[in-house]
Amino acid sequence: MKATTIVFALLTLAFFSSCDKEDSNSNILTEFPIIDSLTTNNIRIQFGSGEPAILNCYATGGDLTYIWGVDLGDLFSTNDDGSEVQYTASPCCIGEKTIICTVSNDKGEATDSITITITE
Amino acid sequence: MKPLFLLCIIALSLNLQTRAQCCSAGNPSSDGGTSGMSKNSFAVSSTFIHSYSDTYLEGSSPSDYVYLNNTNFDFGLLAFNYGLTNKLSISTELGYFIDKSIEFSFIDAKRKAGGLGDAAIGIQYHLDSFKEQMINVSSSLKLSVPIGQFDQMDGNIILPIDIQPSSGSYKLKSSFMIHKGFFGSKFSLSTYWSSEFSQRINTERTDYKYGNLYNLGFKVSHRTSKKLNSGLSLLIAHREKAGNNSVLMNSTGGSFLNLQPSISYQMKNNYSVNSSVNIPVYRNVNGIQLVNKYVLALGISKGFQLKTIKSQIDYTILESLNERTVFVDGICGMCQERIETLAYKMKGVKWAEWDLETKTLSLKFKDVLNEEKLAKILSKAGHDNWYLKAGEKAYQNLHSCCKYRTAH
Repeated sequence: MKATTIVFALLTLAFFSSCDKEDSNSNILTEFPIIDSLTTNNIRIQFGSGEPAILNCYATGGDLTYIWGVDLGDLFSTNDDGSEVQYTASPCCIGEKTIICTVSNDKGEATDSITITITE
Repeated sequence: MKPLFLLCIIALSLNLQTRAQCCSAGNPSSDGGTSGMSKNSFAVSSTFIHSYSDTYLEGSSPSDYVYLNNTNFDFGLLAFNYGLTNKLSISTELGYFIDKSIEFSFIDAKRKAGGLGDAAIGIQYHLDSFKEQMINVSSSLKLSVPIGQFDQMDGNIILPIDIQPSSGSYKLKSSFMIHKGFFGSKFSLSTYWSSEFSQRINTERTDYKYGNLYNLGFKVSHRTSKKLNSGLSLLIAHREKAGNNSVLMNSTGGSFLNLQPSISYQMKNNYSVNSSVNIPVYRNVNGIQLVNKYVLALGISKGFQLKTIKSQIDYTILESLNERTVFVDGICGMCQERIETLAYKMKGVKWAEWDLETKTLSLKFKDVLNEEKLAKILSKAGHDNWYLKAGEKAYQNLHSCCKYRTAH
């Protein structure tokens, strides 16, 4: 009887502790994402890999996912959360390129863009 | 049963022109298409293409500039062709990138993409108004439809358009081809022109237009044996500059001259294999561009002859009919179609089957067969037979792949 009580108590403890853990994941407070700023250290870069532009997206809203896109040229994520990317381009991309950053969470998404000029 | 049927198709077509496109997504450009499809014939072909690029050019000279170490792709094309009539055929294509990748020189990263590319539907019209000179003229129109992915991602990055499997753009290509046979089609010379126009892509992320593409090709073919056909093509292409945000982009487009040896071999049961390699001879690009080192293509095709007439036959009554087997000369599936169609036009004929191996036409008919009339009809169509030899004019009117006298 005593052993049964101890096992039951342990199972109850395990159950509630697992519930607490789930709650801690799903209870992250999120708000509709807002992009405060989309910045770059270099608005004009030469084609090639010599001087990449570093782009940062500063956003609020919690539990954010960052998606980057550009029609030509190459973006590389440079930090863990994806809020910073590096942009370079080959000669075929000379001209103005618009880089779009979309930030999203469970409440929605926000988009901003920045134009980088690729020169010869 | 019809061992030269597909060889005819391949010999007449300019095969797949395997120039790949740098800085341009979507299926590799194909030209020529299939001509010589006879009525109710159906062909399925599958082609594998491998392309590798690792050389930068500035104008026509090698450049020291390196941005990508290399790019390459493995691509599969599935195509269907159907002869609506002896002059008109339709085709569909479906492209799939097994792997498409680029390797950067300045960062330890490789971008990969794959999946459905573009689909295409086409129509080919075969003009045969110059039969006496053994000249065939055909034209085609093809519409490419971007059905594949155009927003494929690598991690949290949407890939740029030049590595996307789909071009994202509708393209319309018109082609015109002239084919002339020599020495009874033992040798042939083909030439074609084509123009490809791309629709402007205008989405939230992309404002881009591929440069229009103009091709001129010449091909010399030799029917080495009944089953083997070899060819050499000289391909000239000019691609205009692409446009981004309404501005022409400097380092896009150029002029290209390539040699393309090709070979095709007819196997049993209407299977055929073909292979080609695309070798750059001269390139003059705008600005600095990465260009192809080589493109390899390997294809397999199978042809079918769909017989609508025989499907309507009541086979139960054939047993009671009279039979006759006669000699009729011919060489291919198109000959078979013609011979059998003419035989069915004879009064009383309920069954007709021509055999390529034995050159015999087996007939089943009610009552009496007017053999003399049938022989005349066949000889007028160009086929020597048990009773009459076809006149030279009638023989020369045969389609170039049906010239059985020179192939013996």
